[in-house]
Amino acid sequence: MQMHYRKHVWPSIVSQIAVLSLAIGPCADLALPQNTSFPASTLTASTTFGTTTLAKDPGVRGGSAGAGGPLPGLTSSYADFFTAALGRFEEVDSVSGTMPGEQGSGLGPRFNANSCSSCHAFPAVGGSSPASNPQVAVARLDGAQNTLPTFIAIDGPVREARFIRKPDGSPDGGVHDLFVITGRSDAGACNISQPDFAAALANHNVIFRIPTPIFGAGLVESIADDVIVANAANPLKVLAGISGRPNRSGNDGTVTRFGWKAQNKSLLIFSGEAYNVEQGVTNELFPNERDNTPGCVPNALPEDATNLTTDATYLPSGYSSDTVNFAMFARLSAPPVPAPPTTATTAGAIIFSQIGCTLCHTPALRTRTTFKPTGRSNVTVPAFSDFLLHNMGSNLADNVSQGLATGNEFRTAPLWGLGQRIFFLHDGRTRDLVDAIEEHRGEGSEANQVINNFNQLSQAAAQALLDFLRSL
Amino acid sequence: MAIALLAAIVAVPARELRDTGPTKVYPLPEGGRVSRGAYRNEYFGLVYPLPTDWVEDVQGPPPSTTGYYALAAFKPRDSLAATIWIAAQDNFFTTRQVDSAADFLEQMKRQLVPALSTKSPPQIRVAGQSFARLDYAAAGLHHVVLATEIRCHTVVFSLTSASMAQIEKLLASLDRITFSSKTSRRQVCVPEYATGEHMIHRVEPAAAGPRFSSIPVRIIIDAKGVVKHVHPIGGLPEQAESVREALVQWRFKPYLLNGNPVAIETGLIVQFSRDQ
Repeated sequence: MQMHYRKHVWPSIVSQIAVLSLAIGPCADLALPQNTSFPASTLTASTTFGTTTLAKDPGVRGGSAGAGGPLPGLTSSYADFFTAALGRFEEVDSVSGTMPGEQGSGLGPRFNANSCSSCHAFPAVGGSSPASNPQVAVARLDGAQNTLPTFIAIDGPVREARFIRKPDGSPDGGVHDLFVITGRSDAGACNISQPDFAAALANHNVIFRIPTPIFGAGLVESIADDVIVANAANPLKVLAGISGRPNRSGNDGTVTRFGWKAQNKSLLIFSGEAYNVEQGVTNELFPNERDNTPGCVPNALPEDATNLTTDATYLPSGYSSDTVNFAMFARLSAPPVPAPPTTATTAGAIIFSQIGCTLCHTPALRTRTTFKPTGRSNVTVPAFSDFLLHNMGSNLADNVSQGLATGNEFRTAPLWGLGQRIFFLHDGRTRDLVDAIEEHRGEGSEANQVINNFNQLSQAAAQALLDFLRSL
Repeated sequence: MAIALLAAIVAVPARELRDTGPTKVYPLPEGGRVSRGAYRNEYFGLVYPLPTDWVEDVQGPPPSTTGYYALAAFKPRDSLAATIWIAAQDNFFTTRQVDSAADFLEQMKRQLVPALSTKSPPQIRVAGQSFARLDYAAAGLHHVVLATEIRCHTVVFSLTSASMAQIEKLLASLDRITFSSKTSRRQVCVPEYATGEHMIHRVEPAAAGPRFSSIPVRIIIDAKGVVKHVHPIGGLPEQAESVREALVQWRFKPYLLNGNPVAIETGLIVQFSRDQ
């Protein structure tokens, strides 16, 4: 007896391979040919059957930053807003707002950094962690007396720390800021202590997160929910052990997509949360201090708010709070521009798809909706991410739940701009792209079969794939 | 309890060998194990003796919320000359209509890049079970996918190697698969039976876990319409428990096969969407 199983409406999804051709640079002649041929050595069967590749990470792509500017096609109003918002993103915060060079106010009483752009810095403002960690200097800035945690190094990634469990054993997962304002010349009588990170480390109770780049985030925000959901349903995934599911807002059930676990709904919420959590600046989305110790809340709350000026010369940016400016900077930023394709990187792109990487790192989605700042609809978003949660196993698990995401699940990290990233994975544990790929494999990971495919490639094929990734 | 809950969230869920219904022990799809040199899965009723010097690879993910199971993965002991991947897709929870294992592979084939070399050799039979086959080559690797239908699941054996000689050896090893004659493999499965017209009594699961989470569930209903087994696929432990506690109380009109009431297996999705 033949069984007919439940039939669902099958929304159109973007062919992975078709959009791969769209994602690789602006040139139409890069569309994948039907009879692809590339150097024979690329397809030579592997003669060594070791369990890891011999290919090497080419390293951070040099040259000018491929990101940091505004979206093309912005109207003049939006273009002006982007420029002004960038300035706000670069503003340095102090407690009082009276420190030289630190005009922003509201820092602390607990914080990880004193400016958005100090952490979102490389390869341009809005990016990820720079090579030299600014947290080292900010720990003692303006008289602060912070002890640098052992997991913060001058040549290491910018990090925030989250504790897995509370002292009573119940789940924590929240950010525990690295530094306090105690001792700063503008901190008054505030006298609080840093968390005991040494004990947390000894108890294996701390995990780390590094900054995610915000380039192209407005386009990501505009992707319709059903596009993300439809892309999740690809029968090829069964061949590779991959599933994936969206994270959803606990308020209205819509798909969330920002953050390492896709836990945040919008750029505005993301900005407000980060402003309060990472810099301690209360704002109109998160108006309460996270630490209310007497003597440590010298400013009126919220510290960041709409500017109720009557000066008609103020641009929209000037009226808007810092948080709105941060969100607009992200929303109006252009996606990273990949390097011009070469024979090797074109071959690598094909291999990247053929071994199954694109089953999670979807080369591009389309917004389907109209993006207001440019008036364009159905825009291609070549982020190399499906924005879904995937079980990454015990190797990458950080044991923190956010929304629907469990401790083993992460959002597929967008790979656009990867070529100019220094640190990889959610905690910045490696600078080496091969290590980052191999870390996808572990007990309980959806990526195991794809990584096995990667490790079975010839060295030339694997190298082409790495070259392709560093071209993004 | 908080620690136990945290442990449940943190750990890759242990695959249950058995799930206890009210009166009987029922095997689970994810309950397969390697013992005495063979992969044994009681739910699907299959035994696959591993090739000589082959071992289990790292364990795959737990069952997904789309009813996908990473059942087992194997490789040679000291190399990565080839891999075997055994998986199953619960056809109650696919987003496309699947008519057969051959149709399943045909849908996959249509998703593959036209540039890839693909072919669909004739179906083969192993131990009396028919397998559809799809071959394709990509990035210097050869892939052979064999698919068969068991208990309304498409069970897939995926063989991968850079060497066709290795693939041929693995194919030969599959000839040694045996299928159990036990009734578990022949359980009657009926899609979408847990609907209003068939239902006599229903209890809503208590709210548990995050809102807007969906959990696919398989249930076995006996010939009298009593739910004897509830298998939540994925979800947090408290959600699974809530689903079990509620659905075991459901009652149905008996399913008639050729006029006779029989036990069936069916599936449904439980959505935790209401206010908690």
